[in-house]
Amino acid sequence: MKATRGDHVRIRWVVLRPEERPDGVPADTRATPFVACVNGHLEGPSASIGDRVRVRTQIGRVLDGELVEIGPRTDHGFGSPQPELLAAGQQLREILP
Amino acid sequence: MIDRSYAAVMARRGEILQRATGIDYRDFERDGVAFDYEGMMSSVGYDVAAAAAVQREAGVGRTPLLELHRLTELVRAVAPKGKGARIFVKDEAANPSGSFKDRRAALAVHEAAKRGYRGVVAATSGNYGAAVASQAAARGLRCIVIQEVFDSRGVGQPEIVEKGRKCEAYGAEVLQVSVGPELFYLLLATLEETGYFSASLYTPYAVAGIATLGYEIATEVKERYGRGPDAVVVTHAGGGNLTGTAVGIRAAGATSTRIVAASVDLRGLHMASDHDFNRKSFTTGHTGFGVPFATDPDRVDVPRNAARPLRYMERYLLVSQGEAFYMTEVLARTQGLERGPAGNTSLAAAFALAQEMATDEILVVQETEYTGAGKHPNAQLAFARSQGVTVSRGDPADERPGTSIVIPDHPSRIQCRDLDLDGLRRSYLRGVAHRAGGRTLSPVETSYLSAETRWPVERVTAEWDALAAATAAR
Repeated sequence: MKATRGDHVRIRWVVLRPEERPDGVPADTRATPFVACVNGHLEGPSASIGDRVRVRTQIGRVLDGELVEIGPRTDHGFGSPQPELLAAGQQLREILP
Repeated sequence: MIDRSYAAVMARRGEILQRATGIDYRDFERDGVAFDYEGMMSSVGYDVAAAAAVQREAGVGRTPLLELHRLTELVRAVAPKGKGARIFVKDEAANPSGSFKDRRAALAVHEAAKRGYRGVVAATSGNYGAAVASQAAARGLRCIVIQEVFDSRGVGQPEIVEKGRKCEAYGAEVLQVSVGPELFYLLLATLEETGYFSASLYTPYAVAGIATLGYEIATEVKERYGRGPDAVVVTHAGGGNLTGTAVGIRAAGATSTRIVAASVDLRGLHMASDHDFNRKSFTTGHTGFGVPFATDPDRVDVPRNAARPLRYMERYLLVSQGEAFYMTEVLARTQGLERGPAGNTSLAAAFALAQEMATDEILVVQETEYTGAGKHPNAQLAFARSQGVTVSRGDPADERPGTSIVIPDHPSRIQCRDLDLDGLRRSYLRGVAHRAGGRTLSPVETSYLSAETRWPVERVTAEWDALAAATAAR
């Protein structure tokens, strides 16, 4: 799947490589790069996932990075009712009729 | 070509922040250790009335103060005879973006517009981002929110993902970053590149904006019952909520109202650890911020933090993650109020505290926050399980942050757990002594530290001398 100019996409770039991260950052964190992502509209010609691209964000800033998602989604939801909370709710009915 | 390397940008932090806040913090420095806190706060020109006027124009504040009759009944069902204070909640979810953070954002964004900035930048994974984005949208300013969202696997907590979505819904650009304190570097670089205003949580504007919350609570309770509240419980993280609320309560003349802090207990988890990041279910309002921001308030993104919680805190209660989730369920089931779990941290502490107070006493919980996809106990507990955290029912005292979440198996399990305030004050003083090299204090510094710690001058001097002796012995 290709993104074409103007498509809403997500890009990612490395802000600091592991060796550029300052002292005092915990070792497990410092072993990884400090990365950033942003959503915006694709500038320039069509591109595929993994390509180096340029986007224009909602406020008009132009930022460069690797194309990681076309039509970025947010998949968070409400989850399913948790048994521990359902049980708590039932118990409240018994304590406060 | 401007050098935007980590070292170069950090070296320019002073000038970047002065331009981005319009405040020359050097004006307030006194004798090294001390600074003129009151002078800094009054220099921005927002007393309670001025802050309230800006907020009214922005549709912020004057939220309902609700008495929680059935919740109080539940407290009395488990409290000793004669105990069980009346519990009230300030329904801050009624603000435009769904939390009390709109109060802070209203002033910061108003100030940015007044000073002619074209946009604002805020670094936060909390509700404040949505608040700044909302206020910026309403004033036609551009907004960038920088959020710590995901670990090195690219996994993000549902609660923060939701906040990112909300910021984008208000038209903001959201820079989502991986775990690490270098978020501050990206903030500085972004401020420098854009020339935008820093809507930091820690400027005098952001703290003065909260004072109206405390003022509204104290004033309304006095009008209804002829006296101020006996205690107000405040969720504590960066310190602005507690500081601003306390300032407002005192400004309303409620001098005897006890100011009680509450944080989710996440002790043992490292806040900058990639591994620990997704093992916590609360992204703010927890000890990972609450303790260090109390003991070292100036560790923030401005030279001098306007949030000084130790100046006002009279008690500090800890709440487990399981207790906060449980109270979210209780609030929905007993009061018909479905609100976000992070905002119910202080409610869980209040449930414990009310059991120690007399039935004629008034206890106010000073916030709620919006709930929705991601910001919901079911979503957050499901996520915790997916990260290997166990969830069970039992005694919340058995909860181990990062390993387990224990939902109380009975409301009577929710009891006060205090964090020792003198320990925090000593830790605060140790940090100051370390930076000052243990030298003798000037009278200005001693009296400043007395105000900072709520310790009398003699106690500050004695503690300081003990620290110096211990250092010399080493």
